[in-house]
Amino acid sequence: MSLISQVRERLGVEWELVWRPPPPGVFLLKEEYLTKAEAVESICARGDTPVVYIVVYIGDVVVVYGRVKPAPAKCPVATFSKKFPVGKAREAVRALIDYALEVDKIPVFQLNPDVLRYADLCHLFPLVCDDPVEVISHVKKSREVSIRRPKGQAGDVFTLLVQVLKEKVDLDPAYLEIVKKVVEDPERLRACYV
Amino acid sequence: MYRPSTDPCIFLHGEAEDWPRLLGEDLVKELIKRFRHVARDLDDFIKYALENPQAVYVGLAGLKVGGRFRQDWAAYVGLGYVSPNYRTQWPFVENGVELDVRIQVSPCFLLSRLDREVVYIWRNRAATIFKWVSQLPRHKPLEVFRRAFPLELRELARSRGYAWVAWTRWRDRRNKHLAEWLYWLDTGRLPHIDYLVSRCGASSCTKIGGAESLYKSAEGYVVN
Repeated sequence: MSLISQVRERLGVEWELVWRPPPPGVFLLKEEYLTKAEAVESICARGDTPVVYIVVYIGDVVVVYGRVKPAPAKCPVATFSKKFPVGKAREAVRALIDYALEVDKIPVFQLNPDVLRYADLCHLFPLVCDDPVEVISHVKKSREVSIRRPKGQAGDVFTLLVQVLKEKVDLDPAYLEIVKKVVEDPERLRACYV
Repeated sequence: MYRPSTDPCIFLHGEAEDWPRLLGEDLVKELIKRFRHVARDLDDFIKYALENPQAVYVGLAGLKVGGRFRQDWAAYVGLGYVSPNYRTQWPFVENGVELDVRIQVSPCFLLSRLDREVVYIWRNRAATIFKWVSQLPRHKPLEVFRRAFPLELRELARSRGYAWVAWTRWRDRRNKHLAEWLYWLDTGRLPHIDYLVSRCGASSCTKIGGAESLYKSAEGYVVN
């Protein structure tokens, strides 16, 4: 099944498909996690993979989900869109988030907190909305889970890691920002150490 | 097209009666319509904007604004950007005092989208703020900064007056931004908007108080 038919099947028939870049709007993902258009163009040149954007209209407000900065000139670009009534911002943004998290498996920390606040969805994603108390309790919770887990070699390392990080955060709350960066994008660690 | 009589800073101005007066009834209705998933009326919307200043621009997309403040509105609606410059023309109060507080950014800048450049401006021009908070609060900044700002600094404004603070120095610059912060923290309103509605007059904004004991408690910030 092609990528386009997979997306269409997941979204449903009420989403309109057009073969052009998305309109200007606010992106669901933080800007630093969007791939540059030039980086994708070289991949497009090797085959016919389209770049897909999913857009919701809430009155004049346009929220765009996509993983590439608009718009790669040398790639076929498909934009799925759906209009929601003004006042249905929550449902509209939720539809994009569900797709991003369930289909593309995007880590929640890549979500743009301004969009979550606009759509009043912070209660569902407190870790994204920068409440340090929630983040600390989350770190504590994962520590408890790792302690309960049968300890293999990895389990021991995780327990130690959580302990070290917790001590760091207790001494300097600003260190929490570094922990959040790791949670946002664990692959960066590989670049540091491998 | 709407023609408000104020700039987008009004989203941090907690006095409901000023909104229809400065924005016009039509724009107020449009704002409530655009944010009706979070606000039933103007009071709800003011509370939402004060608690989530960096999210307001998202819901303003496509808003057509003209009039005297059209450039400020265009930058805010189109880019989520509000200038960090001070707005209040503080009456001159002679003093040779230097405060060791580097805040050369208006509280209105809290409305700006936090991209890399904006974060740099915060860190560069308002370095002292980051002695009091580890990061910029995206939620309820008024509450956070009310707790974070040193009490002695706020006492200084209350005792000597906001205009007095505005004409103190940080190095070769005046502390006009800092005076806006202290006024906003005390009142929940922005001084330049209070000037627009003639609320901030000689008695409230230019006071030169004589509370010497309170003034002394702020010595830690006074350089000379």
